[in-house]
Amino acid sequence: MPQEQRDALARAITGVHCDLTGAPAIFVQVLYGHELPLRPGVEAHLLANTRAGRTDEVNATLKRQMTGALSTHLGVAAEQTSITLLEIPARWIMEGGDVLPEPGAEAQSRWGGQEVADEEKAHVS
Amino acid sequence: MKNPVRANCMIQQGQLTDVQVRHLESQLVMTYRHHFGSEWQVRVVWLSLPPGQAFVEGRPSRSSTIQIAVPDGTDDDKRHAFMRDVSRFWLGYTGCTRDELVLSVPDESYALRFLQANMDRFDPRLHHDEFQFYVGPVGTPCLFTRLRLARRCRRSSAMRWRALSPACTAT
Repeated sequence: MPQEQRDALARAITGVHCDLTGAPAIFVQVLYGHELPLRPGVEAHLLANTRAGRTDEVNATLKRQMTGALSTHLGVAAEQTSITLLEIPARWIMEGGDVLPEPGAEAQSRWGGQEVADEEKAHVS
Repeated sequence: MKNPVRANCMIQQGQLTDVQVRHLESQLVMTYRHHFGSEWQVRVVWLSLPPGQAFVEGRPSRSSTIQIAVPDGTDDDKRHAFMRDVSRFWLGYTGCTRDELVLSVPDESYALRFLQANMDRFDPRLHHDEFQFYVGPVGTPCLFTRLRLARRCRRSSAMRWRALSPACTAT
């Protein structure tokens, strides 16, 4: 997978998540694994950990838009991708000594001032 | 008989020397046992990510990620005290910025669900005869385990290969 394609997909995943949930971009990490023996018929799988507390509707939209990003950037059919979304309590994650805020409470945290870069937003649209 | 628990540490390739890794591992084990008891046997698994594999904010990442499970029902005070101690020694020793360390300390049952989700995405033909061979007794999520699996399977001509499998910690 060319580096440019990896960069673009990472930006797209970041953008989708931040645009939909309002989370700071610094909360979004993307790691690639290659040559893993996925289920038959699946060309790409996204395993996502997100903070618990969002509605089922938001999570469903998130999965749908992530599927679109995978399909677009990898050039595979949506049916050939799969996504697993796991929710983890925010209070179980710490970045640099601070517990992550609950979804929607970012403004009251030290990450409150951080915005999603315009460049990242552009890659989502 | 000690209780086994696995810690997964993902770092960027070239970020830490072997000496630093050994020191951090020793500190992590000591800190865990200090907070949760000397009956815990902590096994630390390191994954060094090559350039181009990890991103944060949509840009190349310099972050390290530590995942280590704690007993179910651990209260927040106890969990956070452990997390703060780990953050303190890690940041102090490595000199990384506070945004370059992500520490995930879930209940053990959540860690097992995460592992199951990891396993479920693989070709089910592997689960019994290949994958379990590499899953440790605790069963916490382990990227290194997956890579070892991949290397083993590459030698098997029967396996079909997939191009990509991103993992996303999008909180």
